[in-house]
Amino acid sequence: MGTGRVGRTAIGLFDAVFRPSRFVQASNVAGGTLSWNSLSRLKSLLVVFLANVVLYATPLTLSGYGVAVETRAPSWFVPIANATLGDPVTAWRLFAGIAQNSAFLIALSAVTLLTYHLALVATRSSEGLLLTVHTVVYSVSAYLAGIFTVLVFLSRAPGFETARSLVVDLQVQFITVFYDLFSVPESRRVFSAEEPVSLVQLTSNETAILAVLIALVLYFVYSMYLGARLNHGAGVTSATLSLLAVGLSPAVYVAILLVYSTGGISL
Amino acid sequence: MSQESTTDPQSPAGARSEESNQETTTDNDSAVDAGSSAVEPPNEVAGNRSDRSEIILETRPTLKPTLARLTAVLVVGAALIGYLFVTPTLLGTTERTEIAANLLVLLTVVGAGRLAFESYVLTRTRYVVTGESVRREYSLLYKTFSRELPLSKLRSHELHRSRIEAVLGVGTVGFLTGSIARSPAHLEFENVPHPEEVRQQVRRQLLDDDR
Repeated sequence: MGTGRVGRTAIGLFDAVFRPSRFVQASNVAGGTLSWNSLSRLKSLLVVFLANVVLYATPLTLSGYGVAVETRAPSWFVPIANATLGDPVTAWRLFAGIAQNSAFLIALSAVTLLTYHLALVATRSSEGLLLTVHTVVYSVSAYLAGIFTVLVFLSRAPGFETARSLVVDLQVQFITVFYDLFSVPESRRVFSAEEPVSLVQLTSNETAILAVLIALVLYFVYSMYLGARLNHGAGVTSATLSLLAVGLSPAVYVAILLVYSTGGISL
Repeated sequence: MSQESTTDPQSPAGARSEESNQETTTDNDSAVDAGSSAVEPPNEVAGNRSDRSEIILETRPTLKPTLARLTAVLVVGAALIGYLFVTPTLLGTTERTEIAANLLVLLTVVGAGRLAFESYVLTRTRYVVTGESVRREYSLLYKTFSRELPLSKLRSHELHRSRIEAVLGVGTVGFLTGSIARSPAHLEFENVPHPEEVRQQVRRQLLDDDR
């Protein structure tokens, strides 16, 4: 093909916005059998995923978001950094910041992959893990990363205080459901629900950014649906059930965090 | 309901081959004559059977179904957005309605943009049937894309028509190889006028190959 890397990236972005079906569809991927070809494809997908995660996390880290790592660079890292990157302390802070900023996206991607694939297997629609990985990698890389980017923007930008409070309030309400479900005592709750945020204070810019956020959520859900339909050949019912499983992902994620943080399990 | 029919001209069930279609891209625009009308009936060319690469049928897609969808998106989108603006408390509060209106604007722009791009690509597309292959090619931004499927690898071909396509007398002809790729139709002649004639020509070629 005569299309270079920049061209492919531009086409990928275009497809992500205007043609999600083409963006998420896995061509030339055999799902069922394990072969060198499928392992090679899996490796490529992981590279795509990691590259996108780094692309997502690096600007955040460089702008100072999430850089709170105070640990010293390990001894093995210092000579390598001295030889290749310059100052080992700055380089370590950069890498640690990227890792910290990527952690949430990677963790939620893993839970999404698990619930999505289990649902496809349970509905006997799965054509192989590789196709699920393809769908999740592309959907997460574009739309979930977009959602997080908007959330990060909301958390820092001046003039978006009401929208920020609204989004935080929604998350706290969501977590509170699990506090109640697991009977976490008030004294051990990190977040507590406050007065509901009044929408009247929203400015035009805030309603616009909230609309973008909702659009990204819809894109993410739709791309997962398309992944089930196009890549696995799932029927409407199976694809919808898989979506419900994806919807459960944040619930599973929060439940695991709560059980872990409240000492329900110890790792 | 869309209409769909499939013909399996050659292969026994389960026969699978490696992906056989070819896609090429060139930086020249010369291979495609994009200047002529996008809406024209198939132009059958008398072919010499001995020259397998000679063009037997050449046609272009019609824009009508895409333009009909584009109009529908714009009209429905504008109507819904307008309705939200004249009834600002429809969803409880003005702000909530404003968020919904913004969302609709966004989705309408994306939908219309996609269909506008699709229309542009269709004006630059032509479909070709030769004695040895079916081919779809289009040029875009000084590049020519060509996707070809040898008839010898063809396992079946299908015709499907959406409601709009049926009303407008056009259809989409898909050519399948039954290869390992996930997409069922490896090559599609989209929005093609007189789709039955296209299938007839391909069927004729396959019968000639069998003899």
